[in-house]
Parts: sequence; C-alpha cells; structure tokens
Amino acid sequence: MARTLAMFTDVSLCIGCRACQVACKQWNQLAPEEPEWTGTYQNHAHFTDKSYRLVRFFEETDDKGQIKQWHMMSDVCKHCAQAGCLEACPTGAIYRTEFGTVNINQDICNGCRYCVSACPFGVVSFNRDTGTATKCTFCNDRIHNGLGPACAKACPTQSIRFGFRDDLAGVAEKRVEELRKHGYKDAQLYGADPKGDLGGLNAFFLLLGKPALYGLPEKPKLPQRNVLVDSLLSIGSALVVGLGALVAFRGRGGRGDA
Amino acid sequence: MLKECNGYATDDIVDKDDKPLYKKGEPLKTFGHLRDDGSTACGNWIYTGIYPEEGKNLALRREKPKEGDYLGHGWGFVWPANRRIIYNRASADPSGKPWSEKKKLIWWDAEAKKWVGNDVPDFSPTMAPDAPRAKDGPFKGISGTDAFIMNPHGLGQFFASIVDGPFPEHYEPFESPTKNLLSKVQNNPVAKVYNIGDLNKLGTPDKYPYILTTYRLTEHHAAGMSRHVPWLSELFFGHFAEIGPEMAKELGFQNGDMITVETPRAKIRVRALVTERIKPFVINGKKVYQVGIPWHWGYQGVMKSARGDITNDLVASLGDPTTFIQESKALLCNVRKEA
Repeated sequence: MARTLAMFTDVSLCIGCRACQVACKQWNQLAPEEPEWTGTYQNHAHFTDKSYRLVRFFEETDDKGQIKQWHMMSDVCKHCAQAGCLEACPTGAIYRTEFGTVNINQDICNGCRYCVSACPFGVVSFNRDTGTATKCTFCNDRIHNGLGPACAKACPTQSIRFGFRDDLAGVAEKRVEELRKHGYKDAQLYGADPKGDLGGLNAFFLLLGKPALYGLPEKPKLPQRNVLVDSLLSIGSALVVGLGALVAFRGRGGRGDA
Repeated sequence: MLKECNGYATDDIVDKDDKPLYKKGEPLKTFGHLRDDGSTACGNWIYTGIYPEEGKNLALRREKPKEGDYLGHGWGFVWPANRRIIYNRASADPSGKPWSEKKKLIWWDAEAKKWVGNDVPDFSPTMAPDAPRAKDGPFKGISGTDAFIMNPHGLGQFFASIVDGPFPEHYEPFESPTKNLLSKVQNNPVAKVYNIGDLNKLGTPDKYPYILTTYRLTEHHAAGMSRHVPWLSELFFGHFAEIGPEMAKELGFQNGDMITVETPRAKIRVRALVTERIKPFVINGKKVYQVGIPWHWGYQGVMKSARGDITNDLVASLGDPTTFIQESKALLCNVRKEA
C-alpha cells in the first residue's frame, strides 16, 4: 500500500470564499441545486449527492449574545480509517484505495443506503437519479495522476492542504502550537491522531474550539458498534414484556373461570 | 500565454548597427526593444523580460540572493524590468551618492559614467547627476536630479490634482442621519449630482431613519455576470438584507422574514438575514441602526436564487467630484415587515 494521503483543513485560515465548493462541483461535474434558506451565508444546509464539499458558516456569541467570532469551516468526507460506510456496505461497492481513501464503486452500488445511515458525519448521500450512494472521492482521478483534489488546489489561503498523512500531521501539530501561543487557547486537532476515534480521519481538521461548536461529534462512533448491546437490550426487553403478558393473561383467565 | 504577455519578435530584427537582435518568434529581453512598426508584439510592456528566452519563466525563480543584494533580485520577477523599488534615483543625493549607506539602492559611478547599485536603476542609465534638462527623447524635461521621471517636471508631489482638494475635509453623505460635526458644510459642494428628477430625490432622517449600505459578496461578480453561472448562483438563497437583531426585534420580524426596504427613489422586497455582525451605531448621541444589502440580484438569472429585486434602484446617482465614483453608497432607508 502506498503512503496514506490525507487532507488537512485549517479552519483558522478559512475565509469562507467557497472556491472549494465550486471547484469540487466543476471537477466532478455535479449539478447545481436550488438552495434552501439556512439563515446564514451557508448553502447548502448539509451534504447532498451533488455537494461533496460544504463550507459551514456560523456565528459564535458570548454569554451576553455579543458576537465573538464568525466561523467558516470547509467540511468534507473524512475518509475514516475505520469507515462506517465501508463496513456497512453489503455489496462491496465501497472500497479502500491504495492511498487509504474510501470510494464508492458506482457500478456495484445497489442503492441500499446502509452506508448513508452508517456514516457518523452525515457525508454519504443518495442520488435519486442514478439510484446509488455518492460522496467525496478526494478526486480519485486527480490523485491518481498526481494533481491533488480540486478543492485543495482552489483554496486561496491554503486552509485546505493535501499531502501524505504523516507529513501533514506534523504541519498540523506545529500550527496548533503556533495558534495557542498567539492566544487561541482552544485550538485543537480533530481526527489527526491515528490512534484516536475511528482510527483517525484521513481528512482531519484544525478547529478553534470544541468539535461540538462546528457540529462535529465529540467522539465519533460507528452506529454498528451499538448493534450487540442494542440487540441484547432488545432481547431483554422482549423477555420482560413476555413475562408481563404471561402474568396479565393468567390474571384475566382466572377471572373468566370464576 | 506568458510569452505573448512578455512580447516577441514577429520578424527578424536587427539593431542600429545592422547586427541581428532577434530571430522571428524569439521572446524579447527588455521593453526597450519594443517597436511600434509591427516587428514586435507584446501583451503588456511591464511584463517584458519575465520570459527572456524560450521555456524560461523568471517568475518561478527561487534563487538565493547574491552577497549584498538585500532586495532578492533572483526571487521571482517584479515589473517593470525586475526593478524592486521605483524612483530609486531618490535614494541618492543630488550628487549621486546614497543618502544612507544601509539603505542604498543605486549610485552614480563617475568612472563608468552610469548608474550602478543594488537595484535596476529607475532613471536614464547614463544621465549624470549634473546633467541639464533633456530637450527631447523619453526623458524630456528631466535633469540629472529629477528622480520622479513619470511626472513631466520630474519632481515629487505633496498633492494630486483633485477638484475638492488639496486639503482633506469630511463631508456627510447626501443622505445622512446627522449634521456634519466636523465641518460647517454638510455635503461636498462640488459633488457630481446627476439631473434625473425624481430618481434622485433625497430622503430625510425623520422619514428614513435607517442607514443603508450596499456591497458585494465574494461569491458573486458585479450585478449580472455570476447570475448566469449556476454553481455560483446556488451559493446564496436569494436576495437578502443583513440586519442586526435589535433592529429586527424592534420592527417585529425574524431571520428569514420578507421585508420591504424603501428610499425616496424605490422600494425593494428582500429576505431579512438577522445577524449579530451588523451593529447599531451611536451617531451624535443617537442610536442609529444599519441595514446592509448586497447588490448582485436582478430580474434575469439562471435559477430562482439568482433572481431578485434590484438594490441599485434604491440608490441616488451622485458622484465623487474628481472621479465620479459613486458618492451615495451610504444612504438612508426605511424598513418594514411585509404583511
């Protein structure tokens, strides 16, 4: 396997220009969609089958309701080392490339949408026209030709950087230190640690606050990890309900005899 | 394309002494070689020299500077002629000696009879410091001490020629919520006011109490071009006005409600985007709210989100007296929630 490729998104550098969103759509030839009202500059509200990149806009306010910071964060498929979508896929359409990225083979996908619900980040979307699941591929065709994804190429501030995962992790560490030194005490990396949640994310982030501020799960978890406990609990509750029913029926039967 | 910007010979060229200078198609090395007889072609003279020979792009240079070259001439290319500091004759005194040893740029070499130094001279390379005013040629009117060669007199200027100058003065916009506190004169008396009747009717703060500012958004270009690009048009829901939460509360509307914004010239319907980013002002002791409206929308566009009312209908046609650039980007308006 080749060295793992990764994308490092430094939100402290994002200016919210959305060049990444447009570059993504242009390279991948994704159709435009009529936007919905989100109450902010953000469009669209969430990832869709035609929007693989999404700049999230939100205003952070203090206790008095005064604005602290206007945040912009360019979000994308995380290409998790333990990918929920890949594990859930029953047809083998979702596969891992030699670069460690996760792709969906459109010819094999049967449109069951298990991956859609298995993604802890709400990235995978269902395309009604083709009947298949779609998501960001890190521009698979580009990276196999040494070009790097369209979004990273378009980013004017190098907020989105693309490269080998081990190199980028070093860059990210240094950047966090620098930001902390300059007073951004809550600056932190999200998904950069390969020993962390989901085995690390191949698209990792530098955040200026807690992940929850950006709508990211604090501890991302694969939904299928709940299956065993939930099944046991279901069996348990079925037993309790069954016993209760037995008790109830026995009581009524007694009255009927009398 | 860089070669076309740089310029190239369209024919074989010889110099004054009939020696071959360029073969047909060769890129030019300096803008001094450009000719007005069609034997050279050039996209823009300031870039000449950036592509001095086939395949060589000086903008890509990342050389370490040579000893003493603190201006880094081996790093990239600076137009024109890779000169780092313009009017660098001014770094030397009238006799041609640098004013400062530490910050010297160019100086007169009396033996070689030319200007030499750390930078590419922005001066006639062979004009001595004691040379009288040139009678003709590209340096006509310039003497050996006149560093500012682009001015006809060769001297620096404290003031540019503007209609309402030379001293700066603060004037309130034609529609202002306050009287001018810094000057007895309220508006610029020489502003360009277009005589277009009712379309230039001005409002007063009692009827139009809110400040309105219009502006652009990064994602859109001008007032129509990006409306025909669906990938850009989908980035905003549609026409909107940014309004602070206090003002929205006072007028009884919420984020996403339709509102009407009115000036004496026109009224438009937009969606209110209520945001903490828009703050009220305290002007002359009075709290005044501000409304911000981007002006990219119009009646034509490739999709629904690209179409909307025209912000510039609200704006009066007034110009800065020197450039005629719009004076009326700050104006007054009234806002009400749509029933």
